Amino acid sequence: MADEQDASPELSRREVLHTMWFWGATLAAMGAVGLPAGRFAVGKSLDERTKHWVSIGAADKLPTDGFKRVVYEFRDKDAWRDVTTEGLIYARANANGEVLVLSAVCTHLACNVRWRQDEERFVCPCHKGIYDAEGEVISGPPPRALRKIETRIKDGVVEALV
Amino acid sequence: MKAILGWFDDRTGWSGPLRSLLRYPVPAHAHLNPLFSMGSLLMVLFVVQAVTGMFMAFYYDPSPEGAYGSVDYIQFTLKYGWLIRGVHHWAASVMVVMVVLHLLRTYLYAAYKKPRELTWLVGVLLLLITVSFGFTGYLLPWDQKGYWATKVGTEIAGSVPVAGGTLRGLLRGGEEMGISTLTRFYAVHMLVLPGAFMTVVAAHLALMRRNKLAPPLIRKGDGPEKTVPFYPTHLAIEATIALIVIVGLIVAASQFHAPLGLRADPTDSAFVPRPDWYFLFYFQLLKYFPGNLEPIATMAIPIFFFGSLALLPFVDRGEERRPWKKPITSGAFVLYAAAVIVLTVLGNG
Repeated sequence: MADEQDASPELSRREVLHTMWFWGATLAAMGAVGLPAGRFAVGKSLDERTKHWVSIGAADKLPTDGFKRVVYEFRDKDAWRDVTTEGLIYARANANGEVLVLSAVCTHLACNVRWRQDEERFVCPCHKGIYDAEGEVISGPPPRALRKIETRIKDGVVEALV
Repeated sequence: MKAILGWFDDRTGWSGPLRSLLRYPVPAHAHLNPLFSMGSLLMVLFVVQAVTGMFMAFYYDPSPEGAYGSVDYIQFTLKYGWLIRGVHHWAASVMVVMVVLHLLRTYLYAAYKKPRELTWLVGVLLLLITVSFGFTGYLLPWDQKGYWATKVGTEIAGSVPVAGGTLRGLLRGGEEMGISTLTRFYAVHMLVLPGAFMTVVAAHLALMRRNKLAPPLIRKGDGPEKTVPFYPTHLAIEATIALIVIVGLIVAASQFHAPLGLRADPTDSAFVPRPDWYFLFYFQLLKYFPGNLEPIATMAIPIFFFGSLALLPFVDRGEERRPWKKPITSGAFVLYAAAVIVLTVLGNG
């Protein structure tokens, strides 16, 4: 009677074996399903996006006293679908003809910044981040300068790597 | 009828467990008190969302090219589309309000104390699931609001030190927002979260039934407290409240149609993204942490907030439950509430 009331009776060798067997089989089954399922869910999420050269206009047509707002687009494969991807960048040239192309993506939380010609600065509409004409942060929450985009000149046309 | 029920009972044995489930004695202080009807109302709202969501899924096209058009079609072309989508829209807001009020009631009644710590913890998890419903659902119309709010939201995850980029990639399904973002938000919104919600609610209810409701703050008289049976007496009240809320949702949907902004435009540089109203306080908070302090707002404050909620029953372990005798927890409530209200008003401005 006393043995029956014992809350944690000692397990027999056979029961210990069965317990280990149960947990081993369960974990193995979960792993067999879970590991490939987890990898499947990640998919290509962490792959780097393929970059594309896009044309932003003739080098001698870029403004020197402000930025040209460039909406670019390219055809690409987004997962299983062929899509036209659009984006926004800002371009200008200086007196020596050097080209500066900046990403419009605010380094705070990725809203698109807007060039204000009258103030000669970029302003982010989301959280009021402000950058100067070189893309450097003047004030607000952005932690870094606007990303400078690699460019090249091909047959007199400026191309940006986006 | 009795014979049919008897036939089923012989084979299933359901009448016993069902009877104990339905004849559960509800304490008098919780009966006829709307503060104690919020939990069941939340379940009704979940069913409303599941049903209206299921109907919208008949027509919704989860692709960046098709999503906006399909939502426009649901809203403006299909018969009663405005009603189905409108009720889904308004019920989502009411659900957030109810979850918060439900939590506040439990907080102010200090009903999280021993032995109900786990019920509280599971409830905090339900709060997280509910706001995740809001976050994932917001993107689905693929309009300007949803697109930019999601871009900002996933970027917040991206600002987490070390693992940020990975987190953002996993949320978006890629480096940029695109088709994989929409399909995974859709799958999470209509499959993962409802499954999680139902499982966690089952645990919440099982714990609530096992540990019973916390006794009233002030006992009136001696002797055992009066009770009423859950079914039909208490459920009659709950059903009436649910009916009123559903009629209210229908009226709201007909008077204030669910919004649908312009189609998402990734090249727009003038649109000011605003999250749904219940995230506005957080949207505003983000403005106050410039540069390298950003992870304070994007990580430290949310972890502190949800962490303090989760740890509350293990820190506040005294016997006292009356809010006017608990200056620290009551003060924290006033402080949090004031902060959220002020930030929401500023964020809306």
